[in-house]
Amino acid sequence: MKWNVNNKMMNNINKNRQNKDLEEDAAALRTEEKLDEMLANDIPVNDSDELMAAINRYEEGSNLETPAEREVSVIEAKTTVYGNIECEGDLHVKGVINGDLAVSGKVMSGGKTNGTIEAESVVLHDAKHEGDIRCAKEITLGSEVSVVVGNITAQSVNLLGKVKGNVSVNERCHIGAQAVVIGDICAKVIEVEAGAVIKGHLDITQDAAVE
Amino acid sequence: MMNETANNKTIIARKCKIVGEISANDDLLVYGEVKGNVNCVNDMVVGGSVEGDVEARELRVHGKAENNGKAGAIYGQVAVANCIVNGKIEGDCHIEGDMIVGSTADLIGEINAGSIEIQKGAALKGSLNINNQG
Repeated sequence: MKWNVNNKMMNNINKNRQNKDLEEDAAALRTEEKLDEMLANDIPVNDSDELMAAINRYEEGSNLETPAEREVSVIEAKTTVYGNIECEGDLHVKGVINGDLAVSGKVMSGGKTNGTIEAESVVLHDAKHEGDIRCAKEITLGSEVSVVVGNITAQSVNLLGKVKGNVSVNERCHIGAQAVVIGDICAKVIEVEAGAVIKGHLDITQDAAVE
Repeated sequence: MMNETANNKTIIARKCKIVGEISANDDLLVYGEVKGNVNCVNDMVVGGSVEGDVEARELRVHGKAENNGKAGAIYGQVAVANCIVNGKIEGDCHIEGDMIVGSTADLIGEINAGSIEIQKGAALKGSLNINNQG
């Protein structure tokens, strides 16, 4: 398959899924139903399915003209954009973008981006991003290699990579074992795996009952 | 790895707008809108609009028929190796090799090409300079 990067992505996602399973077991042992629920909700299974679907769409389109290709914008690995991108739909980045992104759908990046990202959801995998990220839904920093230098604002955040900047989350903030966060974290619910490095203030304000 | 003969395609989808320059070593498909210069080492397809100069190896500008009723358009200078135009180009064209001007093409500007084929129905405004010495 020519989509090696994506294969790697898939493997990592699968790995994450396995880790999640283990986590779930551990959580079940703790008999905290709430935690169980939350873990179950956050497994990025959809991501991999969507990714696969997207990949399939491209692979079918060896003929340049398939209409499906027109729905998702792709900045390939050897492409550089110096400027801002406004996009209705999804944007996949494997190359380099120096500019702000305003995307109504999902941004999936395995490349280098420099600027502000505004999107419904963002998945960074082996990606480097400098600048703020604002998300209506979820941000996933899906590998230890992913780096964000800038502030992150989102509904929920799943950090497995490195962040230098403040993280503010409306709902749930999950920080993986390999994650590094240098900056303040503000969230309603936080979950930190053993091994994570956090340097900064935590502000976990939960209006609802703690139990 | 990535060095298979099939080129990867950078795709600017229909509802995507880029304000700025693009430098692509992949194939580049523009169905959306680009405001800025484009430098593409490989093949390029324009079904949307490009406002800026275009450099590419092989350029295809779609007409309405090929592109769901919306013709591709380039507003700026074009410098490419070969070119097939069914859409619109406003600006000078420098084609090293062959240029095919389709029946739905609409060209305004000077054309320098190695060789040219113009199909019946094409609209052209400007000078032609065809020199097939190589």
